[in-house]
Amino acid sequence: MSAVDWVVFALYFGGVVGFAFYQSRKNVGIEGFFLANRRLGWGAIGLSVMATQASAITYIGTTGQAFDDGMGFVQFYLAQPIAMVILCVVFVPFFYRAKVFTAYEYLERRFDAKTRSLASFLFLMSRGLATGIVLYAPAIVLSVIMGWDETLTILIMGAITVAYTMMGGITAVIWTDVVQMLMMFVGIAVALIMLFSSLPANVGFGDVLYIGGIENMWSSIDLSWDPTNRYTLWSGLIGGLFLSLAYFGTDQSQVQRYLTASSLKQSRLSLIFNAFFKVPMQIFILSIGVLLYVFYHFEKPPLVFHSAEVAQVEASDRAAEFAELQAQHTQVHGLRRDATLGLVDARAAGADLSGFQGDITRFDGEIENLRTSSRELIAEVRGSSSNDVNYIFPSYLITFVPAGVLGLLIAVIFAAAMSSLDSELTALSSATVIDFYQRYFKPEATDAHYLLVSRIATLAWGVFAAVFALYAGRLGSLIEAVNQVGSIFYGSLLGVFLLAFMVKRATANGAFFGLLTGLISVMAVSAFTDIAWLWYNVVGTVIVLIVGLAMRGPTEYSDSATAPAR
Amino acid sequence: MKPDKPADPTESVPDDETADVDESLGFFPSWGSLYATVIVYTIGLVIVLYVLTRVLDHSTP
Repeated sequence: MSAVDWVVFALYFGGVVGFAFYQSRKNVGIEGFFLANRRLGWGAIGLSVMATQASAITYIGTTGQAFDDGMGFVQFYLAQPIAMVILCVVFVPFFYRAKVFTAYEYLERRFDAKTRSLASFLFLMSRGLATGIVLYAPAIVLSVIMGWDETLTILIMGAITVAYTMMGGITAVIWTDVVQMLMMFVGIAVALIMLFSSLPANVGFGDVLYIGGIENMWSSIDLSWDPTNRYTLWSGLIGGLFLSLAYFGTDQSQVQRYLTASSLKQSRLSLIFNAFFKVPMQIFILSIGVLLYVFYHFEKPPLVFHSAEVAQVEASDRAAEFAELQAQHTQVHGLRRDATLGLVDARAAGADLSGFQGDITRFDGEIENLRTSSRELIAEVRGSSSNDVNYIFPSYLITFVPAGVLGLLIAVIFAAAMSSLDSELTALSSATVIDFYQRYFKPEATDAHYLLVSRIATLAWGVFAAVFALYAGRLGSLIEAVNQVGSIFYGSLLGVFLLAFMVKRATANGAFFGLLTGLISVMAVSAFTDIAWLWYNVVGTVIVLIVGLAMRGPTEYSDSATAPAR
Repeated sequence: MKPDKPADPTESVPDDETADVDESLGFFPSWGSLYATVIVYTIGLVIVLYVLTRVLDHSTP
């Protein structure tokens, strides 16, 4: 990075961290620390909900995924607006009225302590692991940009984020998210403009659409019913609906956001805001990946985007083999570029395109084969699998983006990652302190005591996330990894909340054993079948509901039949 | 720190909070119309994306 980039990076990064510390002054007591004293409006909460879900992983993993597979991942988000409506009608009123600190606290009021504790424990495990992946994402960027060791980067990033999260609390987190989210919008627009402006002068918008369409990269709707196909319209609408309901309705990192609202109306509006803007945002982010794919038809891409792995293989006794692959790649890319330029000219002249198109398709296949061979070679050298999908966008940034803009985009990625990370650390801390420490160990302590314990819990989760982050690089695409980890637990959690909200005869034992059975079932499906992970959410929810309904009691639930939480 | 006695979380939402179901929300005369708009918007998104998927598929010359 140039000096200008460093100045932009330092100004923005320092400003965000300073802002978080400034906001920490407003934390008075544990309700301020975890719920901002329930006084925020829908705009700030809505942007924070969006920012918490969309972190640096969204930029890095999603763009890399679109570069490899096209726009199909957008189907994963298509049910989200519908989920928001269901949440507004069914979930939010219950949480808001119950005046709980955590979503799981509600389960004890409805069922019993063991159901609450198990649900909260599952959240802590799934979100704790996912937080590790969130921490790993910006470390990738640093490792590519500055050549830093990923382990060292993870530890430094984790320490800085944990430090200001411990001080900032939810108020700082939400207002920082607002700034981050607005900057992300700017970052998306800048990235798209940069990519378009980097194309040859004679390549127009129509050419971009056409070239992307040759490998069907713009395909965003797949109507097939194959359950082993990762992203189809049906897995998106059904599995995605269940996942969205579970994530926004039972994950404390999101529930905590709309619990900070000043009214039920404000809570609902924050979710409706996301219903309208989340999918378009994802379409634009995925478009960055497809545009990168088109861009690299004109500019030579690296054979392997992970520069550290390239250095590793080049220093090994297999360097000659890799050099041969790179030479072939350079040659094939040159042929593909010529064919692509020929296609652009032919389109402008209204000539026959089939020859150029056939060549491009053939060269695309050859380049993909060379990339596969390279990955296999690197895997043999390293002794572990190789995956560079998360390095594609960062690699473009450092190679092609001009000074100043690069610093801005890197800052946006980092700050977005940190604002997601601090949101999740705050949620993990709240569940740990409210659902376990306060519930079982110290029910009647002072606010100051809980505030101190909450900050210690934030630190502990930061350490846990950092340790897991060190292994995140082996999980393939980051965005998928986050959602796959969550999907093991989410369906079952959603099932138990649906039992609580909608089945008045549901019993505590039915909920608890339903939750256990659902979890075991999803793990079995994950281990022994090829069913795509989005369907795990459906399996978990349905199993919990079946068990819960089978074990329902003879009478409807009433207030007098259930002991209050505390 | 917490309310002295938590409300019954399973009973129907009380009047003061259901009252806003019919309230006006800017362009929308009620919450129901806003929710319906979200559903229509989602269906529209799927249709637009499907049309684009078909139109922009140039995998065969």
